[in-house]
Amino acid sequence: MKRLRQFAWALLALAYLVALAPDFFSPYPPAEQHRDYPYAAPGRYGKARLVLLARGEPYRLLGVIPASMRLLAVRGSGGVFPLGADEFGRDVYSRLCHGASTSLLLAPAAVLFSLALALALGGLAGYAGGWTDALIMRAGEIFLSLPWFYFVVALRAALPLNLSPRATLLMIFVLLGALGWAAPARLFRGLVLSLRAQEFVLASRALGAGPVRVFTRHMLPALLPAARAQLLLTLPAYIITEVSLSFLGLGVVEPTPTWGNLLTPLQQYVVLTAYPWMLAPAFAVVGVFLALHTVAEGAAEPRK
Amino acid sequence: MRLGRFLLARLLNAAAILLLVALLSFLMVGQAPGDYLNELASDPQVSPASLQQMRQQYGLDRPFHIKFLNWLQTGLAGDLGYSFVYQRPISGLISERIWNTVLLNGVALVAAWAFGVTLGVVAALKRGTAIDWLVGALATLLVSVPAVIVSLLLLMLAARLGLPIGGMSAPDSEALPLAGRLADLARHLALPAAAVTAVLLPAVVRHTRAAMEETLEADYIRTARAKGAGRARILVHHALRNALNPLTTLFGFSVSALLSASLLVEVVMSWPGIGQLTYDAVLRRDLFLVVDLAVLSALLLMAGNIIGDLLLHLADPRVTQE
Repeated sequence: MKRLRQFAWALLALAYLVALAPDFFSPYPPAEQHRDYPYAAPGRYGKARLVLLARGEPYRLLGVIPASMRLLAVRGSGGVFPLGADEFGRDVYSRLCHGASTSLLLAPAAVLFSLALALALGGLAGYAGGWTDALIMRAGEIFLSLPWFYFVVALRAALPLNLSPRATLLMIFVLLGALGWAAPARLFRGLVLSLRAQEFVLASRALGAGPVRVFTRHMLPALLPAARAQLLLTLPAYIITEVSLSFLGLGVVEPTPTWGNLLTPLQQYVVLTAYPWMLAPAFAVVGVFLALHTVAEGAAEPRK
Repeated sequence: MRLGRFLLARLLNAAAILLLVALLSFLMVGQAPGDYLNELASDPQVSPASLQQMRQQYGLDRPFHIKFLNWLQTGLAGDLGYSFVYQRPISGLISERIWNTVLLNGVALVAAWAFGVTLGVVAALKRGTAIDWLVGALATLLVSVPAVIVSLLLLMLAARLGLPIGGMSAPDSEALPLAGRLADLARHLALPAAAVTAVLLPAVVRHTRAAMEETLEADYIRTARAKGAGRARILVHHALRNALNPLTTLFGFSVSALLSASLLVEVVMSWPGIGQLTYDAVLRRDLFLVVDLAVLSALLLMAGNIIGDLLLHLADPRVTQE
């Protein structure tokens, strides 16, 4: 099991490296079209060949540092498509790398946002008690009793369909964060309730510490391990939501690639059966999820 | 009579939540820029005057709270409003499709619980063996494949299995006798139901295994064994019966996962249910329809939860006595 977990961590590390520097890992810019090769099967075409670690099309690392070094670069006319090409002859592998940026980086940010919200609200509910507690927990119950995907889709209807990519990212981020706080808030409230009765907390209060200090200095450190486990456990759900929304055309849309909208063409049955390499992003999703679940199970197990 | 009071409390709670959900979705969608009429406004063939008239006719020019109360009042009377896009009353649209969704989800729910509980019990009985490991691996694999991807993979298989790739009946099914029509329906239902089942299965397997593992260790199991009760009786009567309690709580949660999964499956596999209708309504900005469907999905969820509570009462009457 330990081996498996290490392998899972390695896989996640690789996925996140790709997400952070997609240009380095991919031979082409994500939107570059090769009109001569629509739906080309994986392989080399024309006189093109792949060279390792060479200068290619310039790009900006992390969006700021100018660079042109690529792990894979293409020389010669024609094209090299490690995972085939799409309708416009865009390299699926390059788009997969760039899709990782959106799909893998947005979700943890949204999870952190909703965990922060949950810590604040759950902490407040547990610490204050009384009607504050009742109000926050009832509100949480409502959020928990929503059929969440219907709701995400319905809320999406409240915004124009053709948003800019940046606005869409922000929208999904806020939507996911705001809907996901309820379950972890319950957990944190319970923990705060039990911490309140602990002697070190009582001692600190007896010494005159205010609620903010008691919470941040004495309770928060005890809550963080639970928050870490929650982060790993809930991350897949957040990634799925972005992928599903983008797949349906309600999330991030073309030309920005995400693992969700890369799968959209597969809604046409012809594409699904005739060009199976278009399913590559699906396998990327499943691989990352398997790794995440393996890692999360490890984090949920009690330490010896 | 305890059960009656318990149910009444649950129903009131559900009604309050539904009202809030309705208000919330109405608020969100009501403020939406670009509703169906705004979209019409960009059509040069529609004059501003007739647009204004339509606005008045549909009551879109009235203040928010009047619109909401109107909608609520007519909604309670069974009139769900009028779809701009389909040019039909919404209640008709929904009643055509809701049973398709209930059918899909019902079949998937029964299948997921039947397979899930069986696999979970087997894994718990064979703790630490290869079978246990295999069931665990299957659960981890399934939990890692989201609904969209399950649907796509199953659709790929469809051609090979000779199963239809969408819809819920063949074009000539009207002419078939009843038995033939049912077989046709089953063929169309197989893949969507399998997809939704696959999404639900891992949670059921894991929870069953955990609950059974715990109860199998309990003292009363040893007592039963000492009394000379048979293996089957111990398993079903003593162990499973007591493991049911935590499982029924999962039932409520699984309804929520079920509805979310079925929306995606319905869209990908073109199953004509309310999930697909919702998607369509969002894309075509049929806002009243969206609001109605959001509330309806919450209603389905509440119904599922109350059924879960009833099951819990049947499994363990102590719960409703508190």
